[in-house]
Amino acid sequence: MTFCKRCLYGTDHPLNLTINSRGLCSGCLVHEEKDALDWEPREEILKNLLAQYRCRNGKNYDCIIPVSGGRDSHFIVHLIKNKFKMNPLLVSYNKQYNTDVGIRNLANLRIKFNCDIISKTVNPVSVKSITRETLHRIGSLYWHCLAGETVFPVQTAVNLKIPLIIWGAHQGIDQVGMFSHLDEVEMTRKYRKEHDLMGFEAEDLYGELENLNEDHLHPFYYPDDYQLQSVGVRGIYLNNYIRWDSRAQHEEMISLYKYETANITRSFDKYNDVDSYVYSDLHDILKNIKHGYSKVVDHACREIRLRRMSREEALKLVEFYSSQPPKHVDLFLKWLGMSPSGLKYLLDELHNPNIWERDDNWNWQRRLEVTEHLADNCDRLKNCVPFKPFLETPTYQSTDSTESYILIGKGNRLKKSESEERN
Amino acid sequence: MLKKRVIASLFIKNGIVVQSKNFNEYLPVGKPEIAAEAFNAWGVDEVFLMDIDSTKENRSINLDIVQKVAAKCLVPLTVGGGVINVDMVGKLLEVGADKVCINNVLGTSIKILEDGRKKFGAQCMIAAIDSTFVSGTYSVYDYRRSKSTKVPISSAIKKYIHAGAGELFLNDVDRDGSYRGYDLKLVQMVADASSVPVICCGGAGTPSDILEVLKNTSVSAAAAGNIFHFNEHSITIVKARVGKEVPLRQDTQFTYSAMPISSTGRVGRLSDCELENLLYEKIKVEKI
Amino acid sequence: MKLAIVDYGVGNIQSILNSFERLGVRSIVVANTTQKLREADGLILPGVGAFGECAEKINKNGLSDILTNLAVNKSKPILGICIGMQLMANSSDEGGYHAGLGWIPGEVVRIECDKDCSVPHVGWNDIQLNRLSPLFNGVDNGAHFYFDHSYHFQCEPKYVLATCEYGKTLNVAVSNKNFFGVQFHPEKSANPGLKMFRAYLNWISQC
Repeated sequence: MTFCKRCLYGTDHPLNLTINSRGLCSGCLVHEEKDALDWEPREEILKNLLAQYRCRNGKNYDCIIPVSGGRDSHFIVHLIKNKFKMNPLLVSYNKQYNTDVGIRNLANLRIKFNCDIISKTVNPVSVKSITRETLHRIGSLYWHCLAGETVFPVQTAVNLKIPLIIWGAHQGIDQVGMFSHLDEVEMTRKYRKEHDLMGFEAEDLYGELENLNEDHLHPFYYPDDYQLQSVGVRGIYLNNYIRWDSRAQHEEMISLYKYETANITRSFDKYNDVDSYVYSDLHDILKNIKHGYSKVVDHACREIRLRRMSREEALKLVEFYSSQPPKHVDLFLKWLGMSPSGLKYLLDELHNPNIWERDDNWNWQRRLEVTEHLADNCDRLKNCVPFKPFLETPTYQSTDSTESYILIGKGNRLKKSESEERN
Repeated sequence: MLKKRVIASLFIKNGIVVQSKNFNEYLPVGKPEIAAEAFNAWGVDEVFLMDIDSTKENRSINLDIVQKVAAKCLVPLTVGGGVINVDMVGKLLEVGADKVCINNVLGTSIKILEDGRKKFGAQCMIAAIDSTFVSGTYSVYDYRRSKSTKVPISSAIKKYIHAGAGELFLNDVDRDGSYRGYDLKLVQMVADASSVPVICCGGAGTPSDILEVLKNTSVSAAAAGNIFHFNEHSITIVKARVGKEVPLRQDTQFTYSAMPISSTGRVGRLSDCELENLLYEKIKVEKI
Repeated sequence: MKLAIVDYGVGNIQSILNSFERLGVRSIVVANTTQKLREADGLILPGVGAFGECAEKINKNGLSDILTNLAVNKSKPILGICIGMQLMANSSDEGGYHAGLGWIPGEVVRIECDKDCSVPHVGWNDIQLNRLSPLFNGVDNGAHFYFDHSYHFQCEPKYVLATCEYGKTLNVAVSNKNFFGVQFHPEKSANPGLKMFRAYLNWISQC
């Protein structure tokens, strides 16, 4: 196992990572393109591509934008609708672990940009059955979210005959430099199966623990190749054409459209994944157990590469946030119908023996501490500025619960007077 | 009539498919069996699976990986990487490979081709030639030493065919990962000098590159690595474009033959009218 | 539906198993005993390499007698692939004269080639269907299959289901009552191969 000399990733990264002769990982290598490439002509390429997809007779939408209340959606819709003047249809898959903040952000998105939105909520009984199966089979409580989020836009594209789907950042390029920005890589079912769904599509989940059948899994089936071809479905990634910077983009959205931030349990990033009770919580614990690192490492590597964090600052933040205990486990156990001992058994089973071993007190202990990979001759980027904590917006109020998953919420922010009345 | 072929090359490092960027730098793509499954669904004619580290590490390509990939291949699978004797060839055929590609060992001895032809037949034995253009000639490249062996390609071709190679895999080291197109002069030279089918690899950037080499040279097959990972149905789209001018096999239900395709191999948008008509049309999916 | 692949030490059996697994056949064995072969609703006879070697192997331990009994006397459906198809002929002259099983009258001879083509015939070629047959039900005329052979099956037109062009016209699929033989490799021919296997399965279930 080797570590990159610049960021904190190692070659055991689940998306795979290569390290070159200079000790730099493929992710850092591709990230250098952000400063090396001239982005103006790349934006022109995007502009021309979008122009091709405008619906001239006005009877249909120009494109589909998959959205949520917790990632780059505000920025993407702002870019596509306001800057490039397209007429998008927003589609949202209900991840069910919804926080009030997430519900409010999604409502804000819909209202501020005045867009049509189609949302898909799979019945909770099916979702829970599927989640029990994926927890048991692959140690994931997030499978249905990834499956739903990546398939619903494609199903909509096929059903409503809107060929173009616009995504934000390609995770493989962003984290491990799977492709060059110049490759202009597009969405494929192949990538979804391997890297989003850990090798398991819906059809692969039949049987075993929960006796899942077509009724449960049908909502997650990918359209057939012939259907995709007939409509000419294409999913593009904006980070191939725009110099992507999640933090800067979010801060612009906070300023322009009052995107709401929140503190999440296990990272310094207050902008991403604020819509989920599980993502930076129990799900992150599972990630750490299976892969040996937490989401905060992804955030830290991103900031190191963008010269807003030194390696030392990163390691401190990673050490702190990786050790934060989850706060919302009870909510999850209640929702799923699982006992604390059942969860403990599952977590024990999932510990990756390459990463964890039992100490003398039978507690789990990492074989290789995160701090151990501080390289003496690490590769530091020039012009790096000290880390500044993320912004915190006011916590807005709405009529939605602040203590449970919200299946379907209103999300409208209460006016100041109404908010005071509530309190 | 026998058709020319479009072949997907999967180069693996540490068991993961990689694409080459510049020289000696590799970007990770993913598991070979997942790529093979997708490429099969997209109508690829053959899959080439080569382990680029095996020779350096003194071992042959891992049998488990070959077995996993073979399980997903409903088209011929050729494997290679560190294969130095006929026993290894046998083991690879046993786990599901249809042909075996021999490369580095041929610089020292061609016995494996002779033994392979006797035991398994010439059609199982593919001889690889890595070509580099140095001092005005194309010569065989040595990966271990990262330089030309100074052996002219033409003499390697004669030697390997005589020993029993059923096909030649020509890998253009200079154009690998460059997206400049195939070196047509090199490809035609090898095709002329060879009495067995030639597969060329190295340089493909767009469907036009593949069209050009299949249409304007007498090569039998064109292989590409990187570009097939960039978009959905990449291989089907390439074949739709190339197939308009060179007869190719296009047996998938979705052939893209009626879809607009850009010069860079991406599908375009149907007209508003065509899309609207689709709303009222049942798209009948074939189930076998 | 029970299938059996005849095991006589030749052929890339795994690919054939993979194909039928994709088609949802749960019960498929690789066997060479009377009992197992008799239990199957239909048989597959694979084969690669040289005719002489395959013929020798199939005659060993009375396997050819078992097969003849089941296929000729009990009319069990049997599909021969590549050399498996060639074995059904009366004889082959590959590497000298060798007797075949004689189930479909015909002789196996070397492909004659002029300057436009070379032997072996290797690669993707399109087939022309001669007449309606349950084996090609659902397979398009002009579909491509993967070929890899140096010898071909000559026989009377009444046994020919499909041909292809390679220098001359080659017979690529033959049948006689419950015997079917294909020169190409359906297990290496992607969708058309699967469709042909599906047609064979459908035909067996109607028998």
